[in-house]
Amino acid sequence: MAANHCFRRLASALSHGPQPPPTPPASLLQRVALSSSAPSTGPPPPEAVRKGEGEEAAEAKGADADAEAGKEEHEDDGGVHVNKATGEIGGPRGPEPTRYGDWERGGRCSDF
Amino acid sequence: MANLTNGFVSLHCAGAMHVDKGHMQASGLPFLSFRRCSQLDISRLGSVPRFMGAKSATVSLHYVRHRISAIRASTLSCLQDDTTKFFDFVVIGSGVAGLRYALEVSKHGSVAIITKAEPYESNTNYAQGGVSAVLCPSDSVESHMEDTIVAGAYLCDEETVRVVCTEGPERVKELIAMGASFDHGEDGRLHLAREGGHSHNRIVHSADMTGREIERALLQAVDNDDNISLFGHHFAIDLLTCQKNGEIYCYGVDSIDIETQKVVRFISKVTLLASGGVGHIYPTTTNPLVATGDGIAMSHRAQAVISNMEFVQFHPTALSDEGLPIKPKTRRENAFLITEAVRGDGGILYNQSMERFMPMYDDRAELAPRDVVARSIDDQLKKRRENYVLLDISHKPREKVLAHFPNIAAECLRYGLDITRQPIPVVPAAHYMCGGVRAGLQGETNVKGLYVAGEVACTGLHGANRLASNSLLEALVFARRAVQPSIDHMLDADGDASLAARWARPTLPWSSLGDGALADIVERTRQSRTELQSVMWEYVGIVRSTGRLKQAEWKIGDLESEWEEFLFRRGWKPTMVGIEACEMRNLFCCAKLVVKSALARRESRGLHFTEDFPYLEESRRKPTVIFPAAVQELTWSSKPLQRQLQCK
Repeated sequence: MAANHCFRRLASALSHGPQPPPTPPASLLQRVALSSSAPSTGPPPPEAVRKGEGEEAAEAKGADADAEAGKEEHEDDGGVHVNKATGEIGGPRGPEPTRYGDWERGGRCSDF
Repeated sequence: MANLTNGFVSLHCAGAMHVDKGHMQASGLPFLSFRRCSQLDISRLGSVPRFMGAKSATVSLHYVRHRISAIRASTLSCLQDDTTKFFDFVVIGSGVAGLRYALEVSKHGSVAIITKAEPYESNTNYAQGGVSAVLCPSDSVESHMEDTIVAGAYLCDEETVRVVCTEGPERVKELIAMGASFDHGEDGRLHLAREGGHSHNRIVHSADMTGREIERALLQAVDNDDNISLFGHHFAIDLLTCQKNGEIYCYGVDSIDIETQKVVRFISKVTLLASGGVGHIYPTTTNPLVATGDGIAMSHRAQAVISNMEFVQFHPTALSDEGLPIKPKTRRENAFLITEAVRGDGGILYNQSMERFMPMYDDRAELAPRDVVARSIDDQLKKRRENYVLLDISHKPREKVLAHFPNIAAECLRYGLDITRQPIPVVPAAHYMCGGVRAGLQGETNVKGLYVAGEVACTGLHGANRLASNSLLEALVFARRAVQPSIDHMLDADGDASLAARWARPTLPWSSLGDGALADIVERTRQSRTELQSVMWEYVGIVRSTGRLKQAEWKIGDLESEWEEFLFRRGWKPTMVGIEACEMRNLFCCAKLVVKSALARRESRGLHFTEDFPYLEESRRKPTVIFPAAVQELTWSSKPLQRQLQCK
């Protein structure tokens, strides 16, 4: 029990866990800031991914998108790669590199 | 709000400063005034207002004067021997900030860019993600601002955020005009990705090498610019400063020409510091080897104000070489980061006893926000005294794993690890320094003639945590904003060529020390660096505590004295310089700044988490500021090699 509490202490300060008795505006600030210290950076479950507003053809996510991308990627006449899943020309192949919040290629992350 | 300008204008800081007694060190290390310092208004210190009136009346005279001085600068640099060079502008660092700035100011005078390795070697080059900017009609500056401020845990300077988010799109367009080529959609418009923390698509990128593409385009433009001289393999040692009428002025920088092993003095009216990050105070970092905090340390020694050094951004899961079956022969220079996507696709984190630990820290387990994951991993490592944890994706179908993560699979296979069968050893890696040299809205510092841009600067944009892809943006915006004030300062500065000879010249050790002594020093320095990194990781990691921070302070202090003593006993003189020694003293300086800042923040916010104060405190929502020391420094690392002059 004690150990559990000890572990939870780390998380409670950071997530939506129990907060210390606060005044309302401050607590709102704290809660939002704490849980938003890395907003949306955790890999969202696929259904929670929101589409961009018209900029991208589709949000690629997980295995499904990968299968699509694999089937539908093609080369233009000029040899420039067009990614059907993302609508991007000359961009990275395969699923959208930022689908889980960070920028990744083949598993290696370069920005987050 | 305390009026802090007095603290800058007067060098007798002790009277104006409020000592936080808990952190005043007997050894005379810089003290910290935290509670009294709200937002600093550095813009009030800028030189522009003072000279505004004079400038408008005599603008043509100024123009003629500066053209003559520019010509004289180039002539002088030819006439001088190679050891002193005169330029109107000196830029330290060749990442996006330095290059962008140089390309603008070169229209107004001669520019020298000095960079310690190859020009392309910088954090910019490794920033493969993208640049964030509001480029979509349905996006808004307000939205970008809000995302930035939320990510920064409300510690951002709102005006800075507004300026950066507003000016960002224009800066990106200029890059395109300069030849940087970014990806487009089939409709011909820029393809904008969306990274974590952004509520809109706004990441402009170039395939997966945005930083490299920007660097390439800028270097090409620099190459084509006759007014810019690029000095590769020149290591900056210390800024050259002078005290005049109670203010400090920067007149250039001393450097080591690594190839000829000579000290080269650059005299300039304006200096832009764009020297990047400080990842190598930690053992595992994504930063290239050049990121040793040279700029932050030089500025601190030159009495510039430093801010927010406690906010070090770590990535939770970098490949740990120590956990690989076959150890790499040479130490990996920059970390291989394992993407969120591995966890998103079902990867599980275990400690080395194969206990799944994330559920103990957060209900979302492996899908908790990155910061929570980083802290949890750090906590496990410290409690169990281990050096890596395990990220296991081997329970997923082999073909899917290889299809999604070919880079990880290939890298691990090189060292005998099959990720479809075995867990991946991972450890957090230091990635980005949100703090740095305190800058105003024009990139100005409290040292006249010294401007900063890029990762070395603390502009107030990132607050307590950097939003993805905002770093390249910050560099672009501030490099541009520093241009006009620099020009104004340059036009007004009185170029006193005789100053150049008044600072003592650093010396190289070759003639005085034998090969044996030098080799010992280099070896000992390498050991000290490893020990410092170890102390920083152990005691100033992601989960901190007052007790461990104080231990870090003592250990680093001891390490530093022992190292300096070793050097001096081998015959090293205080005016001697060498790459290894200079980098080491910069690392010590920066490490101490991080520890001091971390000790001063008695709350947890953004990237700074401390067990003793695990919650946010609204009353502490202020930047951490380190002022220059009012007392004589005792360590070699804390003093500039050349004493500050007294002018006029």
